[in-house]
Amino acid sequence: MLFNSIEFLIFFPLVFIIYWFVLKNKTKQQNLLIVIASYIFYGWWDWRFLFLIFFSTVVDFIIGIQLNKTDKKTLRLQLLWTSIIINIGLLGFFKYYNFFVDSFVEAFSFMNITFSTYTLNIILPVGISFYTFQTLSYNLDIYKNKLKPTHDFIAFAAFVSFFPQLVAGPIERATHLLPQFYKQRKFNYQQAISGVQLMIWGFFKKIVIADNTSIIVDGIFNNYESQSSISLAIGAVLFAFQIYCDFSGYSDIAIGLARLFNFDLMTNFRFPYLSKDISEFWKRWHISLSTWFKDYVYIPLGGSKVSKTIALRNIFIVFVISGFWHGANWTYIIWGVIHALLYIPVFLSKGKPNNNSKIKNILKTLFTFLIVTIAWVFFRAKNIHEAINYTSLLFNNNNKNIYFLNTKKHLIITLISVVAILLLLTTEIYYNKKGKSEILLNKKMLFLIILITVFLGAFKNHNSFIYFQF
Amino acid sequence: MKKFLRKIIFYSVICLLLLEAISFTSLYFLKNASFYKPSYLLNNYKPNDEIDYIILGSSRGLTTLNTNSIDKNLNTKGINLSMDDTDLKTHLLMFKHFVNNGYKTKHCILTLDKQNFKQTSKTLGNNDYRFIPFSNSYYVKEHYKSYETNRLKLLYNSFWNPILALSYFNLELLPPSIISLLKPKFRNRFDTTGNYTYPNSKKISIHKKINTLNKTITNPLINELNNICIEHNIKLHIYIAPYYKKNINLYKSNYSIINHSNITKNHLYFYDNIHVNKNGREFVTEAFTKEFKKQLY
Repeated sequence: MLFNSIEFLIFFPLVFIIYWFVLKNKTKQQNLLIVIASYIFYGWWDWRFLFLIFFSTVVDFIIGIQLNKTDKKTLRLQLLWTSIIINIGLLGFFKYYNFFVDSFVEAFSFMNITFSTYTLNIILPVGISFYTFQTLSYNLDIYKNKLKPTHDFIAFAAFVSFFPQLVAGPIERATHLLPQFYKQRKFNYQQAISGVQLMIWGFFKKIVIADNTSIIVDGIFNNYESQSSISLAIGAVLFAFQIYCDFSGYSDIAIGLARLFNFDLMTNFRFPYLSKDISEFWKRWHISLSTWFKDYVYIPLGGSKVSKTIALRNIFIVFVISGFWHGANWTYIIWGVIHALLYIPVFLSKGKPNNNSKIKNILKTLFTFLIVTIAWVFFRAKNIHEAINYTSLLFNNNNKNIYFLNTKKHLIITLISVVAILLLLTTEIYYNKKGKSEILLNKKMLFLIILITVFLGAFKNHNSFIYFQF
Repeated sequence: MKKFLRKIIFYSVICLLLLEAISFTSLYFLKNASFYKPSYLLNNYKPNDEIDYIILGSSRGLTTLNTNSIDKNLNTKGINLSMDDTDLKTHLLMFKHFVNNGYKTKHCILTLDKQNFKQTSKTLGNNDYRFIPFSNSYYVKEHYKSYETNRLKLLYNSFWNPILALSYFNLELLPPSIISLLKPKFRNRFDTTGNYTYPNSKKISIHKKINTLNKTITNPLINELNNICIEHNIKLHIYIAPYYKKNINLYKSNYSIINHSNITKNHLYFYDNIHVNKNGREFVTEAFTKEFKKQLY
């Protein structure tokens, strides 16, 4: 079920009314309602996915309790590894099986050795990358004694399957979200209003910017070999905003929805394209994932409290895994490697004074945006060959074709996208200067945003959220 | 909670009213201008105008016959009501739009494309939204009801609730409504009598082999169109516009048919495999005029 669908328009008010009017002050029943609603929400894609999420929930619930019951280090480690193997195993099988088989075959084909292999027609369950990491963090935190396991299966199931953030995050930590399922929820007017404000802004980013830009981006990337450098540059920039607005738009809607049920989810994006360097970018982009990797991969490997060489190795590992997390394609891994290579110089120059003038900061921001955008080409391309070709044609090209000038329709769509992006950036710069991390517009601006969304949104050409495929 | 719900409902109603007002206004401007053909007809011709013939069709009808040349040679007055990217069901809708608004003519020239000889798709045409300003008319409602498959029935419900249709077809309706407000006489790619022509550029392969097809015309929508013609004392002529290197042999039919599918194999007359260019239009119109003259007198 998508947030921007007729089904959700019927589903959400029903759940909201039952939650606050029928089950008012009944925490356990509200949690049960969340589980049922979340399973309906998730099962709407494919009912078979429900077995997987239920299995993951049961396994981690039991392991969590068992972890707390014993003090024996070896047994605790065994239990933890069981949880890791099951969660990563599920992810690995559904997401990466065919990739590994194909890569294995291709690697040996270079040496003229052929294998007959069997690739499976596996459907990737929506959101599996998100909820497996969420449940994994639960047991990792219990192991590290940061958290006591819950004995309330319904509360735990609600935590795992909470529908606003189930399919595309934010990836919540049990220490933050799970306790919210124990306490009695009281309807909070200010929280609910801010939730609605966030949702409107999220829908604007998704329907106006992400879905409109996707039309032009698809056209340019699908015909990149015939496009001019300007067209390719526009394609790359528009994709940078497409993926940002698609993903952060979803996060805003998820966080806003959760607030309507008196839940507080973590901020997932903090105006990443206003970053002055790559290090800052990764503190502002997909915060829930980057902090997950920092806490559960980078720091256990030693983090930066080791020799410089080991620290660099750790950085490399985290970025490669992060790239790989996004999908079963070498392009994502290369994207991760590019970010690692961009991050390393910043890491090595840490501690140096940073008293830059305003103009220098602007240039640094633009430069960071530029390098991130070039890296996005690898993320978007179908394969490495296309990514390399696209990037080289970006800088060395005799073609004159500019995609968005081919038809009036494309020109109008591009204009809508550009104006909407400028509106987005202006708003973000304003809120960033005020030290805010989210955009909560006043009434007049909200009316304008609703008007723009209704009349300039790409309803006819709408896409599902990009991060659903991860 | 009550305060929250009151606020949400209040601002939702305000928003809805504002959006509906903008939508109704946009459709009003579209209806009273000439941007799209359905509005162009009503704002440029009066029901008691003497119209000798009309041309219905898709882009082939739009670009093959030049009513200005026909009228000059035959001393007639004709209108080209063809619309690009449409099929027979939309041609029929246009014809209903013509007769139901009180217009009269003696001849209806239906430019029939080969994919409509037997049947027409059961889904809404790509350009059927152009009739939205007239969605309160029963024939338009009937058309939308029959062919619209989306669950919200955006076009069918567009008279009382135009937001959904305008939101869905925003690019196709909003900029044209703004243009209609600023320049009511502006026409979307057709001249004062409804024609359009492609330039004399080369887009075809001269090495294409000649393809011959044997077809019958059995589409029930043509019967429906013919019945309306009979009711209004109009003579229906089916016209097969030229195809590049495609010869269509038609089996005997009760309709009056002018078959120019293979009238020329000259690649210099074609813009692409299914449309003639400017030179081609002149050539074909001349040939058509000679045949049509026999029908007139």
